[in-house]
Amino acid sequence: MDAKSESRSERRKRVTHATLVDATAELLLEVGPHGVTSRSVADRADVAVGTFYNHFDSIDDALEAVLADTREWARSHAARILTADNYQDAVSAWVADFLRRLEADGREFRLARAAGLPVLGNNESAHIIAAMRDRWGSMWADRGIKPGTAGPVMLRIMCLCGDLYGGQPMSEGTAEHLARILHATNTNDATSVDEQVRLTLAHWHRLGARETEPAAAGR
Amino acid sequence: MSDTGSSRPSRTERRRQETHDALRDAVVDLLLLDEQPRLTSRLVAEKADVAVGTFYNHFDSIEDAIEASLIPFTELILTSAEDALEMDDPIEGLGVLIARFIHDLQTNPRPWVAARRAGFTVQPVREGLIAQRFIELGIGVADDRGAARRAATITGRVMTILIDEFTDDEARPRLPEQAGRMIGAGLITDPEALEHMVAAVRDETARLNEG
Repeated sequence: MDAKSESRSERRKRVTHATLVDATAELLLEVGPHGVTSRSVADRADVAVGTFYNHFDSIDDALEAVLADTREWARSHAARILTADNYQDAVSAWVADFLRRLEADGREFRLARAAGLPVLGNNESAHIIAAMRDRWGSMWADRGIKPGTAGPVMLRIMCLCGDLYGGQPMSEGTAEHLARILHATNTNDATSVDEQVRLTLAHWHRLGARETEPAAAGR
Repeated sequence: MSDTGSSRPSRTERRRQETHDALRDAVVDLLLLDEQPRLTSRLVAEKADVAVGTFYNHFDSIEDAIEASLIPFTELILTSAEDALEMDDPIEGLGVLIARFIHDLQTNPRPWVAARRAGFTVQPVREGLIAQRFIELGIGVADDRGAARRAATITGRVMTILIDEFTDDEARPRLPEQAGRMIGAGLITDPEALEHMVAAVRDETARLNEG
């Protein structure tokens, strides 16, 4: 990623790629997935249609590229939850990180919704949910949770939160309120919901603090 | 149902109603097919075993028929929401509304699933009234109209998600409670009030299961 080692053509290619991804995102939010075609994206990005196909195999491919960062974020958290020793703590940290991400920018969740695509791809979701079932299935069963629904419901509610709260500063009350809805998707026991909400808010405060003092941390 | 009191409707009226119901059922059946055909008046009439002309005696268009077929779906939410608002204790009222919704979803999922296939979502208008009432009483998640709208939207959307994700599930005794906690958390911040509402869901579910 050293800018100096990058040739001019590589740099141009990267810039064009980014422009095409941005154009896809803009069109997606403006006119919905049906208005997003290789032609409309190329027009918006002010390049030839052929250039679009130098970068993407298909329009679906471009839509996936729009969601790449969000997917990566969701994937890495899911992986962390799978390897965690303490499920409650890991899920709480995930939700807290999600709430902070939401405050910073809700656009990505609106994009996922506009594209009609889940935050995690279907194959990935199925894989992660299967792994979660192996890891946490008996606990879920104890709580009366069906593994096939807890995950998708949670991810869909995350998209919904993105629509409603994305990009807005969040009060502690709102954070608590959203954390409560999200945790209610994977536990039915009032005491453990309270505990997870409490843990989430603690993580949420910590994450906020970290953002405000990067200089003090020497970064 | 109507204001005709106890007098029995005439034979023609009964026949008309039967045909109307058959056409509505046909729409729901067609919407629930795995390989969904494009709905037309001809297709619905064929399925209900009546002439196409008869279809147009009952409905102006295919869109009209779809909407009429999904009335049970919207009506339940509307009447329940009104009932809930009239209760002295609105938190309990919300619990009753949620219990009825989940109970209907579990015992009679077809119209709900059909409504989703036709692109309907649970509209937040009436739930907005509940959010507003909660604000007035000082127990809501919000202290302004914008926030009330968001709370109402969350309620409606979470209900929609529940229709999509939970209808294929075997009736699980814990679902009403869990759904109550999810929907309720969209409107109530106070954990104690929320538990009070979840308890109302539990009571109403028990009552419905007995009845």
